[in-house]
Amino acid sequence: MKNTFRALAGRDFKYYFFGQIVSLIGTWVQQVALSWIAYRITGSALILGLVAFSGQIPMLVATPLGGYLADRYSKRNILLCTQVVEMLVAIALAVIAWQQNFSPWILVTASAVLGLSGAIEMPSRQAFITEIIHDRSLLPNAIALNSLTFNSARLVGPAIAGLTLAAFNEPTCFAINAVSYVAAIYTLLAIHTKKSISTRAAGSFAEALTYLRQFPPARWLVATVAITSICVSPFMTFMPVYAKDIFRGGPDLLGTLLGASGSGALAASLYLANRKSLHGLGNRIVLACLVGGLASSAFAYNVFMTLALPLLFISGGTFIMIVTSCNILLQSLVPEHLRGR
Amino acid sequence: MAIYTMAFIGMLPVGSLVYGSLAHHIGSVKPVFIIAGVISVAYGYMLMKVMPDLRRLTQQVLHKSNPT
Repeated sequence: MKNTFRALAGRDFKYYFFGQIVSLIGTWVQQVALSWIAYRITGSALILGLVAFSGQIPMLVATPLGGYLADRYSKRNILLCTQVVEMLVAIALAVIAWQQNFSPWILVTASAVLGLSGAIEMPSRQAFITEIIHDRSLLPNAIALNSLTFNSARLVGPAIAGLTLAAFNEPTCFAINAVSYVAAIYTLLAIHTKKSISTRAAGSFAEALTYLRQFPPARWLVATVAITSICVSPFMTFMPVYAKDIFRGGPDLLGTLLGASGSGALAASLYLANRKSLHGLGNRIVLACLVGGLASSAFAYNVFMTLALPLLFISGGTFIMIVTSCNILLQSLVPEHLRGR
Repeated sequence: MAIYTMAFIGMLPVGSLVYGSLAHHIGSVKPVFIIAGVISVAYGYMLMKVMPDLRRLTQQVLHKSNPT
């Protein structure tokens, strides 16, 4: 256990880690409340899809801007700005919910603003870890622990959200999230970063693409992440179909299926946090591609619940194994001035 | 990390869209999991083939950044 969480010995990473956990859980409470309200007031799957889409699409189109900013300015200040923006949105949502003034367009706009802010902060968030880990050998552990917080928040967040929504009311959910940002902002202010290296005028996004073209390992790592994401996305998209039509269950069964793949993800991040060196990570990625692919094919025509759960566990686990290993290797390889992009 | 994020999170909605229309045309979601699985295994095999080269290039960079 002590080995798994060894990066937490550093004060700065510890502050960041716990600030993140509080904030992530708050975000999940808000997310669930938002989609609940969207469905309750409109009753439309289209609006539900539109809210999800407007939150996700900035991740594809606005992230390059986030990367450019991360290399150009202080990553901590970027994170502070986006956290404040997200907190203001949460406060606005709490007020609107309290006055019961929701319209579909408010929901779509709020979701788009949150998506944009998330897309801009994500590269800084990933690259920031190297600035708060003062012992370079702890970097792989810190990245694995960061992935652990995301995966555990994904697993327990919706459950806490459901309880909060049932116990209190909708405005309270947004207020809880707004308050949770105080923890994130406070810990960001309390952290001492390494002297920021990003003082030189940062080049363009094209500079990062040139680097990928000239250095094959980085190119392969990015390709691996993209291919893997595309290959697991049926598991995220079509799980309701399997829950309802093939295993003949309801929302609780869907929860069980998603829980199995979430537990696999959790196990994989724990395993990676426990590893001590980069040695052999490449082979783990290859193995995970092969095993994950076989699990996906086996899952396709399987009708037995007892077999489906372990297969989902494997699929969730290999996915996180691949993307987190690639993150660790990339962050160990890239030159400092290109890190954000 | 911006490119990594685009490859990681940006590809998920793209995948959903592609597989969604694929499943719609085939009329069932089951073959889609087979297709995704085969792509993943094929890619894993390709990666295994280039791994020795990548390992050599990677180690050069790692040794340069922290000589021990």
